[in-house]
Amino acid sequence: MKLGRRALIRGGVATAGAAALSLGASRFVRAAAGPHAKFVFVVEGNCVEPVAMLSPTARDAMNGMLRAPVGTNRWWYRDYQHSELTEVPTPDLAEALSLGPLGSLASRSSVLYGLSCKASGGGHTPYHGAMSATRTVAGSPGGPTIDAYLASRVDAFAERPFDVLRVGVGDRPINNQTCALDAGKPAPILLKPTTAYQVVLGAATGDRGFARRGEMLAFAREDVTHRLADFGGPVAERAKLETYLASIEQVELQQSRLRGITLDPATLPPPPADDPRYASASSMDRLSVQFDIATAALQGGLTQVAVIASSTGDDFGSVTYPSLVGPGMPLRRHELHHESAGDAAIRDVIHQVSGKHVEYIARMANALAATPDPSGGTMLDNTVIVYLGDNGEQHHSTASEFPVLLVGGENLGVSGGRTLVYPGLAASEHRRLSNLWITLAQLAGIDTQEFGGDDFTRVPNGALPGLV
Amino acid sequence: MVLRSVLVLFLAALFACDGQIGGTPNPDASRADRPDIDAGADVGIPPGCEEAGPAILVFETKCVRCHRAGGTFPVLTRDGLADLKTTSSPSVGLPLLVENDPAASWLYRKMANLDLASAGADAGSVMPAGANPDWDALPDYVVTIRDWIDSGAPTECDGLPPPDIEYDPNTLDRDALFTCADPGATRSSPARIRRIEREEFTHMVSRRLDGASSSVIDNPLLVPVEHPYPSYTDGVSIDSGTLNLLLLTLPEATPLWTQNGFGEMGTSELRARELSCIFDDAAPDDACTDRYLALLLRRGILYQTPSDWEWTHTRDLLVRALGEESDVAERQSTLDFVVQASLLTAGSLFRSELGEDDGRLSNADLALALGRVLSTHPPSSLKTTHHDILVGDPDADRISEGWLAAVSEAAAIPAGTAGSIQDPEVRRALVHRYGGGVDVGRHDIYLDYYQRYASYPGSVARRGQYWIATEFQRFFRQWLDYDAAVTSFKDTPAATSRYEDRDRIDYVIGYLQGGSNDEADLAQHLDDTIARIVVETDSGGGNVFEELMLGRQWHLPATGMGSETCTTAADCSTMYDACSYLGDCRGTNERTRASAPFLFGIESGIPATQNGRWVEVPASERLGVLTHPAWLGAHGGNFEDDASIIHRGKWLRERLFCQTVPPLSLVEVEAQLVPSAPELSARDRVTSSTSGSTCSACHSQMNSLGLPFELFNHAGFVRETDHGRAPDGSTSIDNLPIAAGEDLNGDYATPFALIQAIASSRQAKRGFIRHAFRYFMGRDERMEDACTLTAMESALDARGSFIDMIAELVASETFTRRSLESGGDE
Repeated sequence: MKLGRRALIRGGVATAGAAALSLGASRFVRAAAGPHAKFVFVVEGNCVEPVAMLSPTARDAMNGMLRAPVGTNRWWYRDYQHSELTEVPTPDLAEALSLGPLGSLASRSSVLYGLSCKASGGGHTPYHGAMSATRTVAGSPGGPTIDAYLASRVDAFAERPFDVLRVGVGDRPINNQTCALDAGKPAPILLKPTTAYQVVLGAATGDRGFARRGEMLAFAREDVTHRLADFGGPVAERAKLETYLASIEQVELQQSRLRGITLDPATLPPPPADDPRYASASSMDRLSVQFDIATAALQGGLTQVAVIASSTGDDFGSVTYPSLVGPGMPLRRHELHHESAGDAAIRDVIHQVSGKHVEYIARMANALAATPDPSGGTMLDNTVIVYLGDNGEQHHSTASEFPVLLVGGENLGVSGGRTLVYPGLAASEHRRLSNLWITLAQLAGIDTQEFGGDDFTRVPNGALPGLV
Repeated sequence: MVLRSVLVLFLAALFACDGQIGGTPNPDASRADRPDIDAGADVGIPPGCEEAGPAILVFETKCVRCHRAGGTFPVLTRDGLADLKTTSSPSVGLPLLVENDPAASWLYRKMANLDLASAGADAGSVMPAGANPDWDALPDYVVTIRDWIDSGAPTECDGLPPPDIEYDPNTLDRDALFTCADPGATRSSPARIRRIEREEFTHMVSRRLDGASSSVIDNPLLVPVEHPYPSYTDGVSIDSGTLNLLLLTLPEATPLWTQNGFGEMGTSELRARELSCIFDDAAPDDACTDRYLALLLRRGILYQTPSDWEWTHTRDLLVRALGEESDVAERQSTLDFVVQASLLTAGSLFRSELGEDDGRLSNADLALALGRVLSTHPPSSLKTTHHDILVGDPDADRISEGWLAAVSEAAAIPAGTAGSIQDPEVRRALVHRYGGGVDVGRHDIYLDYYQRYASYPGSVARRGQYWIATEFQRFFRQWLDYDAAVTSFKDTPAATSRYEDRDRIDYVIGYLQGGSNDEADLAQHLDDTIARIVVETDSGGGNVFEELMLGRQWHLPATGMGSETCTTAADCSTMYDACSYLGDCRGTNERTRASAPFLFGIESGIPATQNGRWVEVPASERLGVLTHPAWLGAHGGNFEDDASIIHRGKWLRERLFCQTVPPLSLVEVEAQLVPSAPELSARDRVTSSTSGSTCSACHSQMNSLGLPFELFNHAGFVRETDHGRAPDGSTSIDNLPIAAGEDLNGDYATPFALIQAIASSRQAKRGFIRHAFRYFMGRDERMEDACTLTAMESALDARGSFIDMIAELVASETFTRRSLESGGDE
C-alpha cells in the first residue's frame, strides 16, 4: 500500500500494518454503530460547483497540486495530477464561498474532491445516476439509489415508520427522477411540504390530511371485506383480494403506529396553516420547511435515512430564486448558469443558492447536535449528512467530479475539519462516487465492496480510503 | 393445485421487494421457496419412501424443469423413472441406469462428472445444466442418486406429496397443440380476477403515458418481471409497499373529477348539462350528487354499472364528506378525498373475469376484457382533448363517449339481441374497428405524446401514419422484446462498422435512445415499421409473419436540413457550425441527427416528412425485424465483442421455437467470457468460453441461433471487419425441434438464409401464434386450447392478417367463457 499525502501532511508515520489496523478499527466501529447510524442526503439539482466548497487553506493546497492554480476557475477536474489521496486539514472550511453557515460545525465537516461518476452520464441531470452510480435511460433508473440500498439491507432502517423519508422541492407534487428502489423502479419524493407534513407528521399533529388517509384506507378495507364475503371464485383468485386486504390492514397499522408515536412539540415545525413557507413561491422557502420536517422525523425516530432533493432531475430548469437574484438577472436556474460565465454577480447568486442549502444543513445539524441519541452521544454524532449536486461539477456536467460536503457522524468514524482530494480521472487511485456510497453502506453495517454499475471504469472497488 | 399456491407465495415474496416510503416488508415474503433438496430430511420423506423419495425429490428439484414429457431426453418425472432401467443414451449408447451399479449408469456418470470423456465426443455436459463439477467432495444430491442406484433404484413411493413442477407450455406436444381433435367441445379459460397494471391505471384516470402533465405513469402497479408478459395475472395483487406508493400517486390521479375543468377533458357538454352543481352549489341536491357519482363510477372508477353495495357505500362516503364541509371552497378537497378512496376499491383495482353461472363473462366483464386486448384505456374512459383534433379516430364522431365507445355500446345490448358483445361476429368487427389503419394525426398516441411525436395543428407528425391498437403495438414490443433498445448502454456503438470514424457517430445511439423533439426514438421507429406491416397485410398485402421477417420498408429518423449549403466548414457562417457529409452547415446536435441513418446503413438525406421517413433499407444488409437495430441492440451487449450471440440466440429459441432455455438461477459455474483481446471477435470469445462440458448444455440452445447475427455489432451496425477478419454470419444448427412436418436443422451461411427459412417455417409461425395467445389471454396455453390455436392459425393463413388472428381469438369461447375447473384450486 502506498503512502498518501494524508500521512505526510499530518506528520505521522504510517505503515501498511498501521493502515490495516486502521481499517480493522473502522470495521469494529461499523459493527457497533451500524443499526444506530443515520444518513441524510441533501441533493441540489444541477450541480454544486467545486469552488463553492473550497476554503482558503484548501485553495492553497490545491494550487500546489494542480497543473494550474485554481485562479478564477469554478471547476478543475482536468488539472488534477496527483496520484494518491491528499488530505488537507481545513479548519477554515466556513470561509469557503458557500460554507459560511457551517460556523462552528466546520470542525465537524469534511469536503471531498476528485470523485467522479461517469456511469451516470452527467449533462443537465443524470436523474437517478449520482445516487445509484448507474445510467438512467429514458427515465428508467439503472439500479437502486444509495438511500434505498441502505434501507433494504439494514433491518433497523426498515423497521422505522419510514424506511426512507424522501422530501424536496420541485415543479410537481412528486419527483420520481432522483431516487430508485431498484432498476426500473423509481422511488417517489414528496415535493409539496403540505403533503409531507401530512404524511410524516400528520399523526402527531392531528392533521386533517392524515386523518383522511386513514378514512380512505378504512373505506377500501370495508369494500374489499365485502367483496370477499361473497367471493365465489377460485382460491388463488381469492388470495389476491386477501393479499390486498392484508396490505390495507398493514398500512392502517403503520398509520396507527404513527399515531402512537409522541413527538416532542418543540421539535415540530409549525403546521401549514401557520407558516407561509409551505405555500411560498420561493423554492428555498419550501425547501427550508422540508428540512424542518425531515429534522423532526429524525429527532422523533420516524426514520434513519432521509433524502432532501432540491429541484433535482428535470425540475432544475425552472426553479427560481426571487430573493437572491438582482435586478436584470434571469430568474431561472438554467438561465442563471448560462449567463454566469461573464457575470460575477450571477456567479455569486449561484454560490449563494448553495449557501442556502448549507444554511439549512447547518440548522438541521445543530438541531441534531442538541438531541440526545438513544445509542449514546447526540444524534449528529450518529448521523452523516451528505450534500452534493445531482449531476456533478457544472451546469453541463461531464460527471467528472462531484464535490461533496459531509457533516457529523463522529460516532461512525467520520472526522471533520479537513478536505480530502482524491486523484483525478486518469490516476489509478482515482475514486468514484460509488466508493463513497460503499463507505456509507459499510458504516451502516453492510458488508459490501461493490455498489452501482460503473465497474467497467476499472477504478478500485471498496470504501474510500482515508474517510474513516 | 399446489403449484399455483406456491406461485402465489413466490410472487408475494417478489412483491415484498417493491419497497415503500415507510413500513415493513410483507411478513409472508419468507414463505415462498420450495424446500431445498440439500436440506435432506427436512423435506419430510414419508414411511416407505426412504430409498426412492430422496432421489425423486432430487430429480424434481434439479432436473424435471427440462427433463419431462415434451422436454429434454430422458424423462425424469416420477412417471419416467421406471423406464430408465431399459433405456440407453442415444448419444453415447450407454445404459442410463444399471441397478446396483452407479459407475455403469450413464445417468450417474453425467451427474458425478465421472469419466465423461471416455464416452466420446457426444458425451455432452455434466448435469444438471449449469452445475459446477469443480468440487472437493460429491454434492449431497449426487450422493443421493448414487445411493439410490446402489439400492436398486426403486421408484415406488406413494406417500410422497404431489410434485411442485412449474408448468411449462413449451413442453406441450407441438403438433397436437395445433390439431383440433374435438371441434364441438366446450372451451374456456380459468376464472380469475385481474389486477390492473401501470399503464392501465394511468389511462383509467385519463393521464398521459409520457408523464408530461403528471407523474401517475410512475405508479407502482408493475407486473413482476418474472411473468413473461405484463398481461399475466397469476398471483398479482397489491402488497403493502405497493399500496404505500400508490397512495402517494393518488392525488395526481384525481383532477379530472375534482376540478371544475371538464372542458379540458372533451366532456364540456356533460359538465354544462349535468355537473356544474357538484362544483358550484354550496349544498348539491340528491339528483346532482347522484349524477356525479354515477358518472364517476361508470367512467372513472369501475367502468361498469356499480353494484348496489358499491353505489351505496360510495354514496354514503360522498354525502358524509359533503356534509362535513364548512364552505364550498372545500369542495375540491372533498371530491379529491372521495375519488381517491374510490380508486382504492376492489372494483377499481381488480377486474373480474370470473364468469356468470353459465361460465360466460357478463357483458360488462367481456367489454373490459375485450377493451384490454385493444388498449389500456378502459372502454368509455374519458378522452382529454378537443374533438376536432382526433379526426382519424374511428370514434371521431363520438369523442365524448370516450375510448372504445363501440365496445361500450355493444356491451349495453343484451345477449341474443343484434349487436350484442356476446355475438362473436360483433367482437370480430370491434377488433377490426379498433385494430389499425392510417391516420396522419396519430390519434392513438396523440393524447399520450402529442408534444413530441404526433401531429397537432400546424405541425408535421414525427411518427409514421400507420397505427395499430396500442395493445397490438405493445404485444410486438413484448414479443420481440425491444424495449431495451432505448435503455441498453452501448460502448463505442459503431465499433467494427464502416462508420466507426464518422463525425458524431458515438452520439447516434444516445440520440436515438432518447428521441428528440424532431424524431422518434429507436424503438418507436420499429413500432411504426411493424404497424405498417400489420395494416398493409390486413389490407391484403401478404402474410404478416413473413413480412415481419422479410420486410425492408422501414420508418427511419429524418436527417433534417442544415442552415446553409457548404463544402467545407469555412463556408458556414454560424459560429460552431461545421459542414456535414450532406453538404449543409450544422451544429453538433444536427450533425448527430444527420449521422443517425448510418445505423441503418443509409447514407443519404432523409426528408423530415411523414412519407419521407419511409426508406427501403439495403437488401445486402437488412432483412426484416431481426436485422433491425432496435432488435439487435435490445439483444446486444454493451461492447462489440460482448455476448450478443447468446442473447439473440436465446430469443429465437424461446420466442420463435417455443423451447425453454434453463434459467440462470441454475448456473453454478462462473459464467464469464474470456478476456477481450484485439485478435478475438465476439464469436471467438463466446465460442471458446462456452464450448466446455459445463457450459454446452445451455449454450447449445442459444449459440447456434445467435451466431448468424454476428454480421452486426452490439448496437446493430453492420460490421465491416471483425478483428482482422471478414465478419462471419454462418452457423450450423442441429437441435431445433422437428415438428409440423419440417426440419430446420442444417447449415446457414448468413443470417439472411436463416431468416428466409424462418419466414416460411410453420413452426416459427406457430411460435408467433402461441406468444400472441399468451399475451392477449394473459396466460400460458394448455392442450385444451388446441382448437382455438388452430382457429387462430387458420385465420392467419387465410389472409395473412394479424388482426384477423386476434379477432378469431376474441371470437372464441376460450375468450368468453370461464371455468373454475380449468382455473384453479377449487
